[in-house]
Amino acid sequence: MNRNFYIKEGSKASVFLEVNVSTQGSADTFVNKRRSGGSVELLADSPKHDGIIKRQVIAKANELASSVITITTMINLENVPKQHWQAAFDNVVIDYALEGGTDGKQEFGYDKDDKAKSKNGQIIVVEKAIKVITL
Amino acid sequence: MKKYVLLFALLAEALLVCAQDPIDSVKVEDFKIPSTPGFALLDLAPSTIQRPSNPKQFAFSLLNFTGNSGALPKDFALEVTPYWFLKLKNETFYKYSSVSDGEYNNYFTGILRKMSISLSTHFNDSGKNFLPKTNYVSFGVRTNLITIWGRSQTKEMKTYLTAFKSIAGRVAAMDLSVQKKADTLDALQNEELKKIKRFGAIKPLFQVDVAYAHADMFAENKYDNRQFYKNAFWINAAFNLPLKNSGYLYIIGYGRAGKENLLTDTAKRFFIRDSHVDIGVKLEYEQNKFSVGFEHIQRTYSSKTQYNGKRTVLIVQYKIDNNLNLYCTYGKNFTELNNLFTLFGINWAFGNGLLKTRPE
Repeated sequence: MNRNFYIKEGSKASVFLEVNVSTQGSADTFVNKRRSGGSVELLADSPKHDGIIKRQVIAKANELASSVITITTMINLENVPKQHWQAAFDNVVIDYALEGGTDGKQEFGYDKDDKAKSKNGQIIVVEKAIKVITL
Repeated sequence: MKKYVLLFALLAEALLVCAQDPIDSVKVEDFKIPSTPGFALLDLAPSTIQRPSNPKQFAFSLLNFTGNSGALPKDFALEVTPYWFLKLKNETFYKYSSVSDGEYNNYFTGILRKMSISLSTHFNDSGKNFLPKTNYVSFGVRTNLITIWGRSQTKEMKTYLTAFKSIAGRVAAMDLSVQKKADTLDALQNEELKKIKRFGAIKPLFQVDVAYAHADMFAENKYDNRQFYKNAFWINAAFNLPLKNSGYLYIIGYGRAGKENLLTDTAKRFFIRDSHVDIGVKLEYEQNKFSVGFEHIQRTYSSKTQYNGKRTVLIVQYKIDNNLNLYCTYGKNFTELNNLFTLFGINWAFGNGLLKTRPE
């Protein structure tokens, strides 16, 4: 499910993002800025294979105007025995925090339809889409 | 102890009642000889010295399906790993797999994550070395104490994770639904990481597992006849050495200390309580689905030295698939007389008949 992030027109405020991931599998998180027409720009990614992005500036508010930010966490359960894959899928926890908009700090989690797994269950993808709206 | 036995009996009965037709609903893998600490304590497990392994969230092993309702359950093992029932807020693959994340070594993170609790029973009708018509019930707990990854294993792991991240980044940028991204990433990683050693195939260099088990015996399978049988604490330290032919050589050291009611006269049901120490070693070679191991354990009693003994066995195992193993254990068990120890386990049913696996 999409979320909205409101910014003031022409604002040069820094937009901060923090992503906390809890899973047994290796995890990589990618933050992409998407615009209509198909352009995609990588704003940030997790430095380690735990999917965690510590609080950091991802852009100035005006640079995000009329875009959609996608925060995609790719989890690989290769290191987890197969019999635990379903429990690992059920137990994924991701907390997001976004700052720099008109609403101050926004904290949220993922919705049920933001999460999917591959047919055999080894790969889990959680994607949060945030629509940036200029006021 | 009575509470545990009653809880166990209730749980077991519930499991059996839940199965409308128990014989049909029992899975083939349920007929494996279990490797819980309880069975190891009774010296009934195929191998006393076991490689460190990942316990299942919930495992139920059935050896002798007799449908004995109304009494203590016979011949089965129940193992639960509480960790998998928790939804943790700060879990990472570094902690789960005991891998260094650059800040912390995570050597000891397996203690709570790999801890399993088990209950096992073995009913002895007339076999040697046990009281006849007696149910042996044991409670056990085991966990991983230390896991250390070697330099070469860490390098292989990084190669795999870096390559995977590269593919994941490409898929994350694609304009696809979440479900399509999961399927695309799975397909691409299977295709592009073919030549890279997979994480699941890399084993830690060194692991230490510890376990404790306590067993009581119930003559005539009645709770009022409860009597202490054995307890023990033990430790397994394993070196996992990768070989050039993609096989593995395992060198496992073993130590166990405990107390035991030694059966000195089966007819008169006469016991002597003594403590014992076991020291052992196991060498095991594994190549793909096949493994062969040699295990030797020396048991020394503190006062009744005439009961000192040794167990020397050869274990051959063939992995049919992830849930099925064919194995044969052959050698000498601890006891002085009738000590030829053979155990043949095949988790398969021919036609409609079920093959039961029982120690002889």
